[in-house]
Amino acid sequence: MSIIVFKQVEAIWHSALHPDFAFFSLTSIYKRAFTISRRLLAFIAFCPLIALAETSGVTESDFLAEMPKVLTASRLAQPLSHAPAAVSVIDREMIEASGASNIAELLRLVPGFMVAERLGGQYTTGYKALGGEYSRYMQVLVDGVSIYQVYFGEVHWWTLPVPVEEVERIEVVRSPNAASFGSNAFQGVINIVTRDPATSKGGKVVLQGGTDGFYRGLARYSGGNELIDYRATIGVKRSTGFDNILDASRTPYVLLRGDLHLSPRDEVQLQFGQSETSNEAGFKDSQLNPPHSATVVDQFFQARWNHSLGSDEDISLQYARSRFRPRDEWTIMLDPLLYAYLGLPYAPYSPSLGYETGRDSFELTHRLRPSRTTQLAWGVETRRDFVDSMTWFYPDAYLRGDLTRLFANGEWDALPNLTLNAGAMLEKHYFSGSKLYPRLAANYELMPGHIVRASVSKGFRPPTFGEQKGNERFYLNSTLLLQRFAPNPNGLQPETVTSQEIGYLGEWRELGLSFDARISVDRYQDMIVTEQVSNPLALMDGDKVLMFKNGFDLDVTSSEFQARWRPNSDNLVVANFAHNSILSRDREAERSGPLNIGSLMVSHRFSPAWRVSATYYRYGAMDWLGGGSPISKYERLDMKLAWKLHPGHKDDELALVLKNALNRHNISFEEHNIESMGAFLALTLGF
Amino acid sequence: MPLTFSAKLIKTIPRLACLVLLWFAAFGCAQAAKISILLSDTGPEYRMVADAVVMALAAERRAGLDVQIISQHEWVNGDQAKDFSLIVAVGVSAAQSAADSRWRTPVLATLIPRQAFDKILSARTLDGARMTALYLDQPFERQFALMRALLPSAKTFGILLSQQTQGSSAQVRSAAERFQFRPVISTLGSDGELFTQLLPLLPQIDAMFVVPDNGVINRLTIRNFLLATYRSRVPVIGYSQNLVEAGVLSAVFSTPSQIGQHAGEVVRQMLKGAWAAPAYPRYYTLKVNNSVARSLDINVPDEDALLREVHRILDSE
Repeated sequence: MSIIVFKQVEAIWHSALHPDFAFFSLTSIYKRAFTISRRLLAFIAFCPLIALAETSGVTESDFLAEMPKVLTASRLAQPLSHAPAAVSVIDREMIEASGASNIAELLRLVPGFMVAERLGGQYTTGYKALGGEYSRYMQVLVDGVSIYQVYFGEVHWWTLPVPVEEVERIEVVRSPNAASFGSNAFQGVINIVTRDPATSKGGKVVLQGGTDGFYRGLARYSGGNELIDYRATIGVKRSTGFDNILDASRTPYVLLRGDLHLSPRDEVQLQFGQSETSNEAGFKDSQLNPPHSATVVDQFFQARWNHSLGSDEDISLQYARSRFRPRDEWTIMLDPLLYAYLGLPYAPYSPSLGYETGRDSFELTHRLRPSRTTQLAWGVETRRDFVDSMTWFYPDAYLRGDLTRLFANGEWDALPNLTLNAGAMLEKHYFSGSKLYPRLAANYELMPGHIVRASVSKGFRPPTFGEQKGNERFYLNSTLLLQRFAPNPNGLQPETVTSQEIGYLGEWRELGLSFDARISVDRYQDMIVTEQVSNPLALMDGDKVLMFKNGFDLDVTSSEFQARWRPNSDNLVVANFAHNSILSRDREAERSGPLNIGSLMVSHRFSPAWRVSATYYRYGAMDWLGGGSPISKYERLDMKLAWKLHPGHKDDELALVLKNALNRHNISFEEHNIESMGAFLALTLGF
Repeated sequence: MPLTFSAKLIKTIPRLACLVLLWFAAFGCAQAAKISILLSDTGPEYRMVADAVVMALAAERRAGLDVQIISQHEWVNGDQAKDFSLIVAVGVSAAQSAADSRWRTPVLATLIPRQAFDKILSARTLDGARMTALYLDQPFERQFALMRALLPSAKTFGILLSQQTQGSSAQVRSAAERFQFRPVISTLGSDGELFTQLLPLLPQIDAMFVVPDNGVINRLTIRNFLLATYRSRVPVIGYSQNLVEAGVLSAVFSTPSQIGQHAGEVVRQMLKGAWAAPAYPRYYTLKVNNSVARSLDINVPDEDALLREVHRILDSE
């Protein structure tokens, strides 16, 4: 009989609150945030009056009394010269010069990164090779909390409730760094560090509006006293997306952070972010998936207690939680014949797409300096991941896995100009069992400011829930209509990457110039792919399903460099270039990254009030994996002109940003989505 | 009727004799002398100073010197002062109490910042021969020698002064020049807005220097101050061990025991009759925050080698 094929149908599942599930609607979040901030302000006001400036004269207690430990071991960044891998840092100055309105776009300033707008406001990023629909091969953290989703290992950049204005800097480690960051740090690590509430006090409002119905706004208030430094940000962003698909979206969000100074040695950092996106879904002129609207709730929470045991030693205990819940429901009328065949009364059918995924983790880290020449960081993490979807994970719907990790990283200044670094992580994963991820590196200083580095590391990426257990089925009542994915009866092996690199880092401080070059050879094995096979539960002959399996190997040899020149505070030039040679028996994999990628940013302040900047970005032919299309080249120029309304006193600024100023009709990701030129005005006011 | 010269002389001799006798009574007779160490508080640092003074005066004590350690809350209205030939005050509030006593017992104030001592003197218009001090702070020369030892190629440093300390800017400049530094001095206005003055300084300087001034550095501002300087990769040189533990790169300072040891030596000198003018500490040490040094990519020798280098730089001046 006729079997109706439609994209996805799910048994109707009402939002009975799952025990592990605690979402609040954003309106209730706003209410909570305002109540909390009002209470907090009242509390602070009644706190014992601590004069802002104690002008009662210096006494011996200003010398002898304990001061709060500010630069604790966990706050101190490792200097690039001692880093065991190539690290790129995008700082506040670069963030502002770029004119970027979201975090994913900033990754264009890291050598070797491909960034594409897959749907309106929804970016995907790739590094060197394996560019695909979702950014799956990087460990992405916000202040040390993982924000990738365990469903497929993907990062949802667009729903992340962290605006670029609250980013202090982004540190990108451009090598597998599983030894420190765990299994998802397959190609590298992206750590987004938010602005410390202690350093930016007062209120700020940002309003942006431009072509194509683009608008963004945020309001932030930051304050503090001896007990607590806090920051509360609420905002909204909107994108109308590409012309011929239904991908417009609007995302309000809230981001709260409080740093409690319980004692000179104890600090508790709390951070909460939640966004609630409403977006267009469906397809024009489609019977089965007509235009409708959908929502996504994205939430993360972090509580970290840091206890300082001395100026060189500290312990931190962290609880982190993330939840991601897309919801998508609509109603259609199916073919009445189907109902007749099944003997069911005719009724409208409401497919519901949606799932929930999340993780909860506890982590303990201890950092210390056993001697003047050695430094050690070690820790333990235990984490529970879950997914919940009847469509994808028939019949259980709710799946959960526990993992435990033990990690250690040590640095030894073996000689005055030689530093050795060794790290390892032992991870017991719910699908892959126990695995050891090692890394070794040596940094040798040829002369002050010039370092040569060699390192070798091994990483694994265990299969995710979607890959290992995906069992996508569509039912009408109890009749199976269609199966799209079936789990692999043999299970999946984790993907493996072995990476070796040699790098050079040079700094000419008097000239304000730094240069970082690197050659690396990465060997990827057992990469997980989908394959169409005969359905093991064949309902009829010729019935095919998709199945995940371990597939191709890939060798990527790349040379990258990054140069940064800042001769004075008025000028900045940042240049990046990467050349990648990708070899694989799998033709598609071989083309999953361009041969060359480069970018150039120039920023110049020509008076105390006026600053102009331009960023040129380009990469060559490649074929995005997953739903993407082959592209012949991608080229883009963004420009920004900023006018400071009160130079030197406040941050008030009016800026004009031109996106794709050369008006290149780039295929962004999929061939029907063509980029066009755009512009927006941005107003920032402080008070 | 105007007195003849000889009559005047006859009148003044007894007064002179009394003064001389008083002087000897105060300083000359170590055998029968009684001195007091007056502690501002019961905290361990004050006791450490007192114990170090007592140890330094071991010989004199064997010869009969009586040293009494008194806590300030026992010092009711300063009447006990008349029993002593010298009061060693430990801390600002002890120095204030000893100065306020109506008995004109000489006072050696220790564990007292220079600024606080100058304030006590000026507020009470004391006879300079009655009160002297051993400052807690280090002379600028020592601190700049440390800065030079740690950062051999640094040329400029920034310094923030408030209304309290702006008087020392000339001193800072002249001391800085001796070590080939160019100071960039910024003074906080009466609104005291620290960060509007700090942030424009940071791109211009190779290092930041902090003076004891709670209008600039206090428990409220320290966090923002250290985070802002660290973010700009500007190392900070401080004035106390606690600041180094908080995140300042390094400081020269004197421990309470070192202060006490020096105080004991000064007391010995004063008991023999020689008045000691206010002075900076003779004994000092230093501390480096190795984690901060490493994070800022600053190569630091071990503390003993660094201290020798500081001595060497000071000696060559």
